[in-house]
Amino acid sequence: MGISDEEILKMYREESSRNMALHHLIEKYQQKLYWQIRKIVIDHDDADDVMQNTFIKVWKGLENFKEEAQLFTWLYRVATNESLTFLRQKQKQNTTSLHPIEYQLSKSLESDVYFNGDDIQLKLQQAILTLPEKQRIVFNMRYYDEMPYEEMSGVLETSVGALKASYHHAAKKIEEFLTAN
Amino acid sequence: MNLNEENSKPNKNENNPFSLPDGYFGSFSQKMMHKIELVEELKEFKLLSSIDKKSPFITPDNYFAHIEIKNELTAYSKLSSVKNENGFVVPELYFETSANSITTKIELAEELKGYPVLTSIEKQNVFVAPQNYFEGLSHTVRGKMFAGQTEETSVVRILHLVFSKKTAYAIAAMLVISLGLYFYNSGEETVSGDCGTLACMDKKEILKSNQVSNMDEESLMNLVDPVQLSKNLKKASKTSDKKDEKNYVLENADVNDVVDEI
Repeated sequence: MGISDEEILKMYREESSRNMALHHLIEKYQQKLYWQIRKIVIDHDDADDVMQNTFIKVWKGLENFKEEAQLFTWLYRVATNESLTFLRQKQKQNTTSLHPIEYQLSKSLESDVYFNGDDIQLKLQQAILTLPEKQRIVFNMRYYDEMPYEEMSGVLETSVGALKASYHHAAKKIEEFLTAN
Repeated sequence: MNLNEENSKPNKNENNPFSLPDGYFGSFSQKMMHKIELVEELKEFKLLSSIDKKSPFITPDNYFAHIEIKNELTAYSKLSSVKNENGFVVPELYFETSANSITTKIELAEELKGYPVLTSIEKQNVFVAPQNYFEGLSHTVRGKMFAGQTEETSVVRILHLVFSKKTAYAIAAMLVISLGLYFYNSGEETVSGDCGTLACMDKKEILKSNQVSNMDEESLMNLVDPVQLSKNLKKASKTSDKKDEKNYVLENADVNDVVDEI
């Protein structure tokens, strides 16, 4: 059985075991966070950058982490925010293209060696990439991660009602896109 | 013949479909007498006899079934000696979250009912991570995080062997500052005979300095050492006089005069 969050935090509080706490934290959450980040930034190399930044930020902020909150909820929030910040920076840096970053990501999927979906899966990802930022994240969290709205509310700091509405708008747009394409 | 006697023998009379346990009538009167005795005994204790007679004690669920299972295993000595423990484990908080996850699954299916195209697509993770990516991630992140700290801590560790921790940090800090100053100064050319004023400074140095560009006229004047400046100006004028002489000779001399001079 894996190490518990309480044990990780306890190790973190002891200076002698702090380094080990970081190792356990990464080992425990790397996959969950990676897939969350990857679905937002799409490209693996970008996801890798964001992953590293996320853990560095988490590590720096762990001192102020309130233990009554769930560690994973907080990690998810940091990862999501880091991914969005990354995409905004990428958009700013890319002055050569007139298209929004989502369009570029959608195009890049077609030749991505780390994407193994068939045509319909590609269409679905492209449909998701047409959604506004927040709807995209809500859809991914609900559809793929099957996250309860209450938990999602903690991560995105948005009311359950708003999240439900967001998910339905997203699903409707995706359905329309798939039907049209 | 007593019909009941007849019936006490199972299947004796095929016209009567009912039967009784063996010896039922034989022990009936004895049982009745015992019951009456018990009632008679309690007659004088009115309160006690009014209480419904039933056992208030209960056994744990499946207690008798458990005994039965144990008894079944007695025939297999090795198997019954093995500690009956569940060797399987579930992920952390599995039972706390399983109800939620089932509810979420049902909700999800309900939510997508109105979207037939989306529902028809198989839900799968289509993204792939490079092979062994996760094996090295912890190392990479920690390497990146502690990259700047390793050298400093190793210096402190060495000093800590001789001095106290606080002193070791202080010496390490002094070393960093001293080395920093040394490298900073060694990067610049030293002006010989530096008097610490603008007069002794190289022209390029003055231009490079951002501080000078932000100074007002009065502050600039204060920086000038008049004695050194006049010396430098004299030097400059002598040099320019020599240059002028050279130019004059070259421009006006006759080729024959020059040959004669040689």
